[in-house]
Amino acid sequence: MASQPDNASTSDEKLVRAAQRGDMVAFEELVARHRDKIYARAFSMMRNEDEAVDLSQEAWVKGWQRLKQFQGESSFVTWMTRIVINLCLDQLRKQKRHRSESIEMLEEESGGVERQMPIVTVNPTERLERSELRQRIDKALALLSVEHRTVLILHEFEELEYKEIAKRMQCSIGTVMSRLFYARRKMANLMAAYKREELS
Amino acid sequence: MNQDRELQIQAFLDGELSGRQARKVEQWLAGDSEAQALLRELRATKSALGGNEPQLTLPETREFYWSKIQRQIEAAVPEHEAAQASLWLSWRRYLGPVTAVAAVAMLALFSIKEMGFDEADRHLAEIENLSEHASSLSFRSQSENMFVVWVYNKDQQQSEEEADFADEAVIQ
Repeated sequence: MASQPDNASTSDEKLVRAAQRGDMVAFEELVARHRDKIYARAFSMMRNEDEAVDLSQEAWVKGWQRLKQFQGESSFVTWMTRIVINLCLDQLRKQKRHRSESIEMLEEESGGVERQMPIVTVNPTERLERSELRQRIDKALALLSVEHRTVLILHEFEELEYKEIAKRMQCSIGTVMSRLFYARRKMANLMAAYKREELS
Repeated sequence: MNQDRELQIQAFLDGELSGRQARKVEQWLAGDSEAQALLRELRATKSALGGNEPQLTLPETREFYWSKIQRQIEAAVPEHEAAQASLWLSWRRYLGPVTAVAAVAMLALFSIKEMGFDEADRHLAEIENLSEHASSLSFRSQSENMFVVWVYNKDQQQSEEEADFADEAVIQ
Protein backbone atom coordinates (compact mmCIF):
# COMPACT_ATOMS: atom_id res chain seq x y z
CA MET A 1 0.00 0.00 0.00
CA ALA A 2 1.36 3.43 -0.92
CA SER A 3 2.05 5.68 2.08
CA GLN A 4 0.30 9.02 2.51
CA PRO A 5 2.52 11.89 1.42
CA ASP A 6 4.02 13.78 4.36
CA ASN A 7 2.40 17.16 3.75
CA ALA A 8 4.08 18.77 6.73
CA SER A 9 7.44 18.75 4.95
CA THR A 10 6.07 19.57 1.48
CA SER A 11 6.68 23.02 0.05
CA ASP A 12 3.84 25.50 -0.38
CA GLU A 13 4.25 25.35 -4.16
CA LYS A 14 3.72 21.60 -4.27
CA LEU A 15 0.78 21.80 -1.90
CA VAL A 16 -0.80 24.53 -4.01
CA ARG A 17 -0.41 22.46 -7.17
CA ALA A 18 -1.99 19.47 -5.47
CA ALA A 19 -4.82 21.59 -4.13
CA GLN A 20 -5.40 23.02 -7.59
CA ARG A 21 -6.00 19.46 -8.74
CA GLY A 22 -8.66 19.12 -6.04
CA ASP A 23 -6.59 17.70 -3.18
CA MET A 24 -8.33 19.06 -0.12
CA VAL A 25 -5.86 17.41 2.24
CA ALA A 26 -3.11 19.51 0.67
CA PHE A 27 -5.25 22.62 1.04
CA GLU A 28 -5.90 21.81 4.69
CA GLU A 29 -2.14 21.73 5.25
CA LEU A 30 -1.84 25.17 3.67
CA VAL A 31 -4.59 26.44 5.96
CA ALA A 32 -2.85 24.98 9.01
CA ARG A 33 0.44 26.58 8.02
CA HIS A 34 -0.79 30.07 7.34
CA ARG A 35 -3.97 30.42 9.38
CA ASP A 36 -2.32 32.49 12.12
CA LYS A 37 -0.90 34.99 9.67
CA ILE A 38 -4.21 35.42 7.83
CA TYR A 39 -6.07 35.71 11.12
CA ALA A 40 -3.52 38.23 12.45
CA ARG A 41 -3.97 40.43 9.39
CA ALA A 42 -7.76 40.30 9.76
CA PHE A 43 -7.51 41.08 13.46
CA SER A 44 -5.13 44.01 12.88
CA MET A 45 -7.71 45.55 10.60
CA MET A 46 -10.93 44.65 12.38
CA ARG A 47 -9.75 44.68 16.03
CA ASN A 48 -12.45 42.16 16.82
CA GLU A 49 -11.65 38.49 17.42
CA ASP A 50 -14.95 37.00 16.17
CA GLU A 51 -15.00 39.12 13.04
CA ALA A 52 -11.38 38.29 12.34
CA VAL A 53 -12.05 34.55 12.67
CA ASP A 54 -15.10 34.75 10.39
CA LEU A 55 -13.36 36.85 7.77
CA SER A 56 -10.27 34.67 7.78
CA GLN A 57 -12.47 31.59 7.23
CA GLU A 58 -14.27 33.33 4.42
CA ALA A 59 -10.90 34.16 2.90
CA TRP A 60 -9.88 30.50 2.94
CA VAL A 61 -13.14 29.46 1.27
CA LYS A 62 -12.60 32.08 -1.43
CA GLY A 63 -9.00 30.97 -1.74
CA TRP A 64 -10.14 27.43 -2.47
CA GLN A 65 -12.69 28.62 -5.03
CA ARG A 66 -10.16 30.82 -6.82
CA LEU A 67 -7.16 28.55 -6.51
CA LYS A 68 -6.95 27.87 -10.21
CA GLN A 69 -6.42 31.62 -10.75
CA PHE A 70 -3.29 31.59 -8.59
CA GLN A 71 -0.36 31.63 -10.98
CA GLY A 72 2.51 31.88 -8.50
CA GLU A 73 3.41 35.51 -9.29
CA SER A 74 3.51 36.13 -5.56
CA SER A 75 3.81 33.70 -2.70
CA PHE A 76 0.67 31.80 -1.75
CA VAL A 77 0.45 33.51 1.64
CA THR A 78 0.76 36.96 0.02
CA TRP A 79 -2.06 36.03 -2.33
CA MET A 80 -4.21 34.83 0.57
CA THR A 81 -3.39 37.98 2.54
CA ARG A 82 -4.71 40.12 -0.29
CA ILE A 83 -7.96 38.15 -0.25
CA VAL A 84 -8.50 38.65 3.46
CA ILE A 85 -7.60 42.34 3.21
CA ASN A 86 -10.23 42.86 0.52
CA LEU A 87 -12.83 41.09 2.65
CA CYS A 88 -11.90 43.26 5.62
CA LEU A 89 -12.11 46.42 3.53
CA ASP A 90 -15.58 45.41 2.29
CA GLN A 91 -16.68 44.75 5.84
CA LEU A 92 -15.25 48.04 7.09
CA ARG A 93 -17.08 49.92 4.33
CA LYS A 94 -20.36 48.29 5.38
CA GLN A 95 -19.67 49.18 9.00
CA LYS A 96 -18.76 52.76 8.14
CA ARG A 97 -22.31 53.34 6.90
CA HIS A 98 -23.54 52.60 10.42
CA ARG A 99 -20.67 54.05 12.39
CA SER A 100 -20.94 57.52 13.86
CA GLU A 101 -17.85 59.65 13.52
CA SER A 102 -16.18 60.62 16.77
CA ILE A 103 -15.04 64.19 17.18
CA GLU A 104 -11.45 62.99 17.47
CA MET A 105 -11.71 61.16 14.17
CA LEU A 106 -13.21 64.19 12.48
CA GLU A 107 -10.35 66.31 13.78
CA GLU A 108 -7.90 63.74 12.49
CA GLU A 109 -9.58 63.63 9.12
CA SER A 110 -9.65 67.40 8.75
CA GLY A 111 -5.91 67.49 9.31
CA GLY A 112 -3.76 69.68 11.47
CA VAL A 113 -4.01 67.68 14.69
CA GLU A 114 -0.81 65.82 13.93
CA ARG A 115 1.01 69.12 13.66
CA GLN A 116 0.36 69.74 17.35
CA MET A 117 2.20 66.56 18.25
CA PRO A 118 5.81 67.24 19.15
CA ILE A 119 8.48 65.64 17.00
CA VAL A 120 9.85 62.55 18.71
CA THR A 121 13.61 62.93 18.79
CA VAL A 122 14.66 59.86 20.75
CA ASN A 123 13.97 56.50 19.12
CA PRO A 124 11.38 54.94 21.47
CA THR A 125 11.89 51.44 20.12
CA GLU A 126 15.61 51.20 20.75
CA ARG A 127 16.76 48.18 22.77
CA LEU A 128 13.32 46.64 22.78
CA GLU A 129 12.98 42.90 22.35
CA ARG A 130 11.15 42.07 19.18
CA SER A 131 8.20 40.50 20.98
CA GLU A 132 7.87 43.53 23.22
CA LEU A 133 8.06 45.87 20.24
CA ARG A 134 5.28 43.92 18.52
CA GLN A 135 3.14 44.12 21.64
CA ARG A 136 3.57 47.89 21.81
CA ILE A 137 2.80 48.25 18.13
CA ASP A 138 -0.37 46.21 18.61
CA LYS A 139 -1.38 48.33 21.61
CA ALA A 140 -0.80 51.55 19.64
CA LEU A 141 -2.62 50.28 16.54
CA ALA A 142 -5.73 49.70 18.63
CA LEU A 143 -5.82 53.41 19.44
CA LEU A 144 -5.89 54.58 15.84
CA SER A 145 -9.12 55.19 13.99
CA VAL A 146 -10.19 52.56 11.45
CA GLU A 147 -9.08 54.66 8.47
CA HIS A 148 -5.67 55.51 9.90
CA ARG A 149 -5.00 51.97 11.03
CA THR A 150 -6.02 50.56 7.65
CA VAL A 151 -3.75 52.85 5.66
CA LEU A 152 -0.85 52.12 7.99
CA ILE A 153 -1.35 48.35 7.68
CA LEU A 154 -1.62 48.50 3.91
CA HIS A 155 1.51 50.62 3.59
CA GLU A 156 3.81 49.33 6.32
CA PHE A 157 2.83 45.64 6.49
CA GLU A 158 1.42 45.00 3.06
CA GLU A 159 3.94 47.35 1.39
CA LEU A 160 1.46 48.76 -1.07
CA GLU A 161 2.14 52.04 -2.90
CA TYR A 162 -0.01 55.11 -2.33
CA LYS A 163 -1.84 54.61 -5.61
CA GLU A 164 -2.77 51.02 -4.81
CA ILE A 165 -3.92 51.95 -1.31
CA ALA A 166 -6.08 54.76 -2.72
CA LYS A 167 -7.69 52.30 -5.12
CA ARG A 168 -8.43 49.75 -2.42
CA MET A 169 -9.70 52.30 0.08
CA GLN A 170 -11.63 54.17 -2.61
CA CYS A 171 -10.16 57.53 -1.71
CA SER A 172 -7.71 59.99 -3.24
CA ILE A 173 -3.95 59.66 -3.06
CA GLY A 174 -3.88 62.93 -1.09
CA THR A 175 -6.17 61.38 1.52
CA VAL A 176 -3.91 58.33 1.74
CA MET A 177 -0.89 60.55 2.26
CA SER A 178 -2.45 62.67 4.99
CA ARG A 179 -3.90 59.64 6.79
CA LEU A 180 -0.57 57.83 6.64
CA PHE A 181 1.22 60.90 7.93
CA TYR A 182 -1.16 61.26 10.84
CA ALA A 183 -0.98 57.54 11.64
CA ARG A 184 2.80 57.51 11.69
CA ARG A 185 3.05 60.60 13.86
CA LYS A 186 0.47 59.20 16.26
CA MET A 187 2.33 55.89 16.45
CA ALA A 188 5.62 57.68 17.15
CA ASN A 189 4.06 59.66 19.97
CA LEU A 190 2.33 56.64 21.45
CA MET A 191 5.53 54.60 21.40
CA ALA A 192 7.35 57.49 23.05
CA ALA A 193 4.66 57.62 25.75
CA TYR A 194 5.04 53.87 26.42
CA LYS A 195 8.79 54.38 26.73
CA ARG A 196 8.28 57.18 29.27
CA GLU A 197 5.90 54.97 31.28
CA GLU A 198 8.50 52.23 31.32
CA LEU A 199 11.22 54.57 32.57
CA SER A 200 9.12 56.29 35.22
CA MET B 1 6.64 74.08 7.75
CA ASN B 2 3.31 73.67 5.99
CA GLN B 3 1.42 70.42 5.48
CA ASP B 4 2.38 70.20 1.84
CA ARG B 5 6.07 70.14 2.75
CA GLU B 6 5.45 67.58 5.49
CA LEU B 7 3.71 65.27 3.03
CA GLN B 8 6.54 65.75 0.56
CA ILE B 9 9.02 64.65 3.21
CA GLN B 10 6.93 61.54 3.77
CA ALA B 11 6.64 60.84 0.04
CA PHE B 12 10.41 61.28 -0.25
CA LEU B 13 10.91 58.72 2.53
CA ASP B 14 8.51 56.27 0.83
CA GLY B 15 10.13 56.59 -2.58
CA GLU B 16 6.96 58.00 -4.10
CA LEU B 17 8.61 61.06 -5.69
CA SER B 18 10.10 61.32 -9.15
CA GLY B 19 13.87 61.74 -9.39
CA ARG B 20 13.53 65.47 -10.00
CA GLN B 21 11.09 65.97 -7.11
CA ALA B 22 13.28 63.90 -4.77
CA ARG B 23 16.35 66.02 -5.59
CA LYS B 24 14.36 69.18 -4.89
CA VAL B 25 13.29 67.85 -1.48
CA GLU B 26 16.85 66.83 -0.65
CA GLN B 27 18.02 70.36 -1.38
CA TRP B 28 15.67 72.11 1.00
CA LEU B 29 16.05 69.32 3.60
CA ALA B 30 19.76 70.12 3.72
CA GLY B 31 19.02 73.60 5.01
CA ASP B 32 16.02 72.89 7.28
CA SER B 33 16.74 71.31 10.68
CA GLU B 34 13.06 71.00 11.59
CA ALA B 35 12.37 69.10 8.37
CA GLN B 36 15.35 66.84 9.06
CA ALA B 37 14.01 66.05 12.55
CA LEU B 38 10.62 65.18 11.09
CA LEU B 39 12.24 62.92 8.50
CA ARG B 40 14.19 61.14 11.25
CA GLU B 41 11.02 60.54 13.23
CA LEU B 42 9.13 59.24 10.20
CA ARG B 43 12.06 57.01 9.26
CA ALA B 44 12.32 55.56 12.79
CA THR B 45 8.59 54.79 12.85
CA LYS B 46 8.71 53.18 9.42
CA SER B 47 11.69 51.10 10.46
CA ALA B 48 10.03 50.03 13.73
CA LEU B 49 6.86 48.93 11.97
CA GLY B 50 8.48 47.13 9.06
CA GLY B 51 8.55 43.41 9.67
CA ASN B 52 7.05 43.80 13.13
CA GLU B 53 3.41 43.23 12.47
CA PRO B 54 1.86 41.86 15.66
CA GLN B 55 1.85 38.08 15.63
CA LEU B 56 -1.30 36.47 16.90
CA THR B 57 -2.48 32.92 17.31
CA LEU B 58 -5.86 32.00 15.98
CA PRO B 59 -8.03 31.14 18.98
CA GLU B 60 -9.40 27.87 17.58
CA THR B 61 -7.96 24.40 17.23
CA ARG B 62 -6.71 23.28 13.85
CA GLU B 63 -9.45 20.65 13.47
CA PHE B 64 -12.34 22.88 14.50
CA TYR B 65 -11.23 25.77 12.30
CA TRP B 66 -10.74 23.48 9.30
CA SER B 67 -14.05 21.69 9.83
CA LYS B 68 -15.91 25.00 9.43
CA ILE B 69 -13.98 25.90 6.29
CA GLN B 70 -14.52 22.47 4.81
CA ARG B 71 -18.26 22.67 5.44
CA GLN B 72 -18.45 26.05 3.74
CA ILE B 73 -16.42 24.85 0.77
CA GLU B 74 -18.67 21.82 0.31
CA ALA B 75 -21.83 23.87 0.68
CA ALA B 76 -20.75 26.75 -1.55
CA VAL B 77 -21.70 26.96 -5.18
CA PRO B 78 -18.57 27.58 -7.26
CA GLU B 79 -18.26 31.30 -8.01
CA HIS B 80 -18.57 31.02 -11.79
CA GLU B 81 -21.77 28.97 -11.41
CA ALA B 82 -23.17 31.50 -8.95
CA ALA B 83 -22.44 34.31 -11.40
CA GLN B 84 -24.14 32.43 -14.22
CA ALA B 85 -27.20 31.67 -12.05
CA SER B 86 -27.44 35.31 -11.05
CA LEU B 87 -27.25 36.38 -14.70
CA TRP B 88 -29.97 33.89 -15.65
CA LEU B 89 -32.23 35.07 -12.81
CA SER B 90 -31.83 38.70 -13.82
CA TRP B 91 -32.67 37.91 -17.44
CA ARG B 92 -35.61 35.69 -16.49
CA ARG B 93 -37.36 38.70 -15.00
CA TYR B 94 -37.58 40.23 -18.46
CA LEU B 95 -38.29 37.01 -20.32
CA GLY B 96 -42.00 37.02 -19.52
CA PRO B 97 -42.72 40.57 -20.64
CA VAL B 98 -40.52 40.18 -23.71
CA THR B 99 -42.44 37.00 -24.59
CA ALA B 100 -45.71 38.86 -24.08
CA VAL B 101 -44.64 41.71 -26.31
CA ALA B 102 -43.52 39.26 -28.98
CA ALA B 103 -46.85 37.40 -28.77
CA VAL B 104 -48.83 40.62 -28.99
CA ALA B 105 -46.78 41.79 -31.92
CA MET B 106 -47.48 38.51 -33.72
CA LEU B 107 -51.19 38.83 -32.96
CA ALA B 108 -51.17 42.40 -34.19
CA LEU B 109 -49.52 41.44 -37.44
CA PHE B 110 -52.02 38.62 -37.87
CA SER B 111 -55.02 40.82 -37.14
CA ILE B 112 -53.81 43.58 -39.42
CA LYS B 113 -53.36 41.08 -42.19
CA GLU B 114 -56.70 39.31 -41.63
CA MET B 115 -58.91 42.23 -40.74
CA GLY B 116 -57.53 44.69 -43.22
CA PHE B 117 -57.31 48.48 -43.02
CA ASP B 118 -61.02 49.05 -43.41
CA GLU B 119 -61.73 48.14 -39.79
CA ALA B 120 -62.16 51.34 -37.78
CA ASP B 121 -62.82 49.69 -34.44
CA ARG B 122 -60.29 49.76 -31.66
CA HIS B 123 -59.03 46.35 -30.74
CA LEU B 124 -58.32 45.66 -27.11
CA ALA B 125 -56.66 42.43 -26.04
CA GLU B 126 -55.06 41.06 -22.90
CA ILE B 127 -52.42 38.48 -23.59
CA GLU B 128 -51.72 35.80 -21.00
CA ASN B 129 -48.01 35.50 -20.40
CA LEU B 130 -45.75 33.19 -18.48
CA SER B 131 -44.46 35.77 -16.02
CA GLU B 132 -46.22 36.00 -12.68
CA HIS B 133 -44.87 39.53 -12.23
CA ALA B 134 -45.75 41.18 -15.52
CA SER B 135 -48.73 41.56 -17.70
CA SER B 136 -49.54 43.45 -20.86
CA LEU B 137 -52.30 45.26 -22.59
CA SER B 138 -52.44 46.21 -26.20
CA PHE B 139 -54.67 48.19 -28.47
CA ARG B 140 -54.72 49.02 -32.11
CA SER B 141 -56.25 52.12 -33.51
CA GLN B 142 -56.96 52.04 -37.20
CA SER B 143 -58.14 55.61 -37.28
CA GLU B 144 -54.93 56.81 -35.69
CA ASN B 145 -52.87 54.18 -37.47
CA MET B 146 -51.28 53.19 -34.20
CA PHE B 147 -50.56 49.99 -32.28
CA VAL B 148 -49.60 50.24 -28.60
CA VAL B 149 -48.45 47.55 -26.18
CA TRP B 150 -48.42 48.35 -22.48
CA VAL B 151 -46.28 46.02 -20.32
CA TYR B 152 -46.68 46.63 -16.62
CA ASN B 153 -45.34 45.23 -13.37
CA LYS B 154 -48.24 43.50 -11.59
CA ASP B 155 -46.52 43.65 -8.18
CA GLN B 156 -45.95 47.39 -8.43
CA GLN B 157 -49.50 48.04 -9.56
CA GLN B 158 -50.86 45.94 -6.70
CA SER B 159 -48.81 47.77 -4.10
CA GLU B 160 -49.85 51.14 -5.55
CA GLU B 161 -53.50 50.09 -5.33
CA GLU B 162 -52.95 48.98 -1.73
CA ALA B 163 -51.24 52.26 -0.95
CA ASP B 164 -54.14 54.19 -2.47
CA PHE B 165 -56.51 52.16 -0.29
CA ALA B 166 -54.38 52.84 2.79
CA ASP B 167 -54.29 56.56 2.00
CA GLU B 168 -58.04 56.59 1.71
CA ALA B 169 -58.32 54.72 5.02
CA VAL B 170 -56.08 57.32 6.70
CA ILE B 171 -58.07 60.22 5.23
CA GLN B 172 -61.30 58.64 6.49
